[in-house]
Amino acid sequence: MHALLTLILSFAGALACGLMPAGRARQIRWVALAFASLGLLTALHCALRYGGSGVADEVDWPWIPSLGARLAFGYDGISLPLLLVTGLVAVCGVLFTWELKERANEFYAYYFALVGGVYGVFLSRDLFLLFVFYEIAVVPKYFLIAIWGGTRKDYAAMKLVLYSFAGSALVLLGLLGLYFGANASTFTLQELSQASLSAPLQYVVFPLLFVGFAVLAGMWPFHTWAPTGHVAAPTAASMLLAGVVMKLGAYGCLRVAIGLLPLGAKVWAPWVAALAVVNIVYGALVALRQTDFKFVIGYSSVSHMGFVLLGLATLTQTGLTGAVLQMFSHGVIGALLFALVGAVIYSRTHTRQLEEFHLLIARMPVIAWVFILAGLASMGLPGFSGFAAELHVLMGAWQSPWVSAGLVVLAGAGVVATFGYTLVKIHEAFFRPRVASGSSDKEGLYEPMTAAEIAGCALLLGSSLLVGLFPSLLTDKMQASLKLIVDRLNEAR
Amino acid sequence: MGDVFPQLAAISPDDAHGARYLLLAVMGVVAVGFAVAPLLLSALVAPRKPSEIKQSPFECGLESKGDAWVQFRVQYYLYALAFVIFDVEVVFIYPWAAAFTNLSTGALVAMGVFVLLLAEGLAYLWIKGVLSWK
Amino acid sequence: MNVMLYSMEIAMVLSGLGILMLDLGTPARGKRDLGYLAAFLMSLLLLQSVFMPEVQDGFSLLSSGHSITEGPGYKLDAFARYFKHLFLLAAILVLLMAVDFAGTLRARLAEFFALVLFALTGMSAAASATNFITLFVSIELITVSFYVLTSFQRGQMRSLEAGVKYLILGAAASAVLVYGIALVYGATGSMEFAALGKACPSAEHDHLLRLGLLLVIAGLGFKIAAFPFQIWVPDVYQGAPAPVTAFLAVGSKAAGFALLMRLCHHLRPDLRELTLTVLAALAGATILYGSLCALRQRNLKRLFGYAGIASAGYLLLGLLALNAQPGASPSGAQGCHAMMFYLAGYLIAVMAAFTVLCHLDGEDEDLSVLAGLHARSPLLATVLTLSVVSMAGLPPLMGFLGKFLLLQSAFEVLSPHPAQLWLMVVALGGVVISLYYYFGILRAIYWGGGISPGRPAGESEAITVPPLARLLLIACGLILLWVGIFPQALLEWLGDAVALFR
Repeated sequence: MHALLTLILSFAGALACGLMPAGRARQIRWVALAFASLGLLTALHCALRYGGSGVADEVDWPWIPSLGARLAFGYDGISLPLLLVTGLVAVCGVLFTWELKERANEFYAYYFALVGGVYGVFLSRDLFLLFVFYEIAVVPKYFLIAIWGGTRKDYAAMKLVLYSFAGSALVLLGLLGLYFGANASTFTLQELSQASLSAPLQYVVFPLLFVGFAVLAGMWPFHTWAPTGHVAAPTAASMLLAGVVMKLGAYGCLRVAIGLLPLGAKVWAPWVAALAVVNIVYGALVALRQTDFKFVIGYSSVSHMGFVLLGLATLTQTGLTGAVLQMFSHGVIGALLFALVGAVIYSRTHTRQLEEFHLLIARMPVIAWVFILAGLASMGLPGFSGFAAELHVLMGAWQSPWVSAGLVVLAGAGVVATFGYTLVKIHEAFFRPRVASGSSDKEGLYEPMTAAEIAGCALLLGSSLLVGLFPSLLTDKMQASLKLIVDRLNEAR
Repeated sequence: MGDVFPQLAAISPDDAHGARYLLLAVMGVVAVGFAVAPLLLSALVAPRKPSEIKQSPFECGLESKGDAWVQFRVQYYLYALAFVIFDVEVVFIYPWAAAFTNLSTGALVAMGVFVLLLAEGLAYLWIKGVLSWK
Repeated sequence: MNVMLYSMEIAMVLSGLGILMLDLGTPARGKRDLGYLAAFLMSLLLLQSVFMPEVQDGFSLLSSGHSITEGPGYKLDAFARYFKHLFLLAAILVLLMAVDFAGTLRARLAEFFALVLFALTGMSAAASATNFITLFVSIELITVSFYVLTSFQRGQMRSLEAGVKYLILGAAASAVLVYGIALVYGATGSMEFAALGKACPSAEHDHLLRLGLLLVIAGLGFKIAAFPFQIWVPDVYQGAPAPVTAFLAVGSKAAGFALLMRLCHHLRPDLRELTLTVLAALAGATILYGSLCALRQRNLKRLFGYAGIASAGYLLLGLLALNAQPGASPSGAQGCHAMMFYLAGYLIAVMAAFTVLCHLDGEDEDLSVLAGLHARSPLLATVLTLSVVSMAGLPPLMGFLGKFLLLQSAFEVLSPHPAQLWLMVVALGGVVISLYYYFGILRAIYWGGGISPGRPAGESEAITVPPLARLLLIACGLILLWVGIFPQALLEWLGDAVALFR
């Protein structure tokens, strides 16, 4: 199946769900599941077919000749894991919102518009097209949070929009600088990567592009949209936000900022590394202090994205591999954690305050154990994808001349902090008697997981385990594409 | 500037540019002075003995009554407007008539269109009943 | 003199007069049909002009003009045609909107339709103007028509207030404009725009010319509502009947820009430096002012007014490109390209938004009238969403590419002067700020229940939209989407129109 099918299926799904009558929630969710699953199957098929180097499924149609923008699509080893994670999260998002009744048609219309925008970014081989898809995702995000969201949804939705758009504004500025600086007649990545850009220009444009994209990746100090946005969003949306949308930013940093501006990247890499380590440590420490379960996961996302950024800052083959692997890994695990906290546990306890939970391990044993597994995966237990990813990142950071040893040690401390908050929060959530009085967490056993929830958990945990046990499944496919970037970095002076 | 204002150019054809405007400046000062001087003089010279009668507005020897903000019938304005339009039309027609023998047919057509446009307006007013004073 | 040069304007005036005359014999309940007639006539004219442009290049009837103007002061080139098409389209939509709005206008419908046509004539003439006399006459024709149109709801205090404010400020602006024209004429001795490209006989003539040019820009700045000439906008937009506001927002503004584009095209290199600085300052201030003031607005028409001010700022960015030094960059045409594309997208978006406004009940246009709109009429909600998102400049709608092209052309002009790049930062900042208020509208549509305590969401029943309006709204929405995704056809068409600026 052609990779473009993911894109087409998503927008078709948005249209189909949007046009169905609102009352038919049952049918709508099956239609949604069908479209999402077909998208995942397409992504899987692409992954199996991908030969390991070059750009596959390339199409290149003229679009806006006067601007030099082309409808150029295709995927390489870097896009591939991200396509997969998008497909996975999209399917599981539908599974975990199986009970949604309120305005279901609109919900899935925005949901698939967002998914489509994300696929579009990962498939674009033209910078302008990439930017367009990047922006398309803004409106659905806003709607998903602001209509179906929870805690302070208006504030969170607006904050998310303004942050991501401010990031886009920087990206746009960088984009124009790149376009005119390269004296290019097109926006295609192919041509721009061959253009010779002067060093001073790269020094100026790189921070614009990198910071612009990194806002969406949750880089400190621009991360504050992430916890509030994740907490306010409905489950499926927070899964997408944490699992996929944050990867958009990181992907942009890698593909555009580092990929096109090697000289700029080399100059700024130490700064990026420093910020990334702040992300890791700060996210972990703040997570430790949270009492709202969803905020814990929100800040843990910030911390985990720090590893992605650190991997990017290494500018080495190993580090970049780790970064992409971490994008996949956090996409899967982050989505799972948000699903468990936001849907599975919350729908039973009707609270997310940790001090109101009462010995949940005895009252929802299966769910608790699934969460504990997910938590272990999140803190990087060997056997899960997170371990392989963080290992690659830290190894890359050791090798990298741009990341000082002190920073690596600090990042290692961040890993320890991650262990700390994960275990503490697991204890507080599941093994601790109620602390607060007047809780809405009732006595007695909770009903077991539904079939949809089991399927979703199995899919996400399974894929994390699979990649954790056999990381070469993904890493082998990435090497050639990453090598192109690394070679450019080494050649540029 | 000289070709636009030939009189000025004639006064000082080759002077520095400031001199050309000197006349205008003098004219302006004199004009302002002419208006302001009597006011100043009367303010300085005149004795002041205000009384109620003296303070009241003067209306041709009659005592003023009522409010100055009186509403007139709207048709009064409409009449006036229609009059002004045709009054101005005459301003255009006069020079056109004076130069008529030298003008092309185009000018005839143009003036015809102009008059017709105004006539159309008159007809519109008439049929709308604006001209009948009720 | 070639009469066919003016054939479109003649047709417009004749239609207007015809509507007035027909009104005399039409019974009261048939008056609304006059609006349909006017819209139909204008549609015919639009179709004829788009598909048979050669008809207009006809025969010569009158001898050429003389006296102070050298040519007819009038050009019917691709540039003028493009703007005429825009104005015709806007007028058609406004007329149809007004027919639906007729219940609120109550009386003197025929005059309303005729005045719209007269204003259209002015705009259409402005698109062709190549000398200051045509410029002034067309501007005055537009403005005088709008004096009446803005205060059309005589029974309402707000409408009267709007009329008076527009009249007084408009008259002041005209005075400034005419004084500027006089100075320019005094300095160059010619009424033609082309004279701006020639050297003046002496240094003090040159000073006069610069002063005159600034005054002309100020006078036109009033039309396009650029800061600091925007004072009238919020009150007038709010008070005027919705169709008039829409026409004002689109037509009047586009006419001002068309004139500015022609004017700037002829400027001498050293004058360009002056206007570049002035326009850059104007653009930055306008964007910031419009965006910041719109933040706190709750009245939709005021909000669109301030948003319109911000748009004028973005359009000025395109005008900057036209003032770049020739040879430094080939961007003059690009700036015009961007402006004309942006204006087309802006026209459709504004028209769609105001058509939606016309169908909402409620005396005031407070944001709360939108509450529950998504349930009461999904069509209106969807079209308003598309239009607002397009104005906000998000893909895949027309507004995105428009703003992108404007920013791109400005960037190209400013990049040789790094000190001027602050303007880009301001412009992008404005875009980010604007999202706040545009998304506020979206919020009101989709979950605006909590906004006004007195009016719970979705309490009213469904809104019925007449079939013709339904069709127009769907068309507007589809155009915004389609041209947004596949802009090439429009861009190519524009390529001919901006050939003038190459």
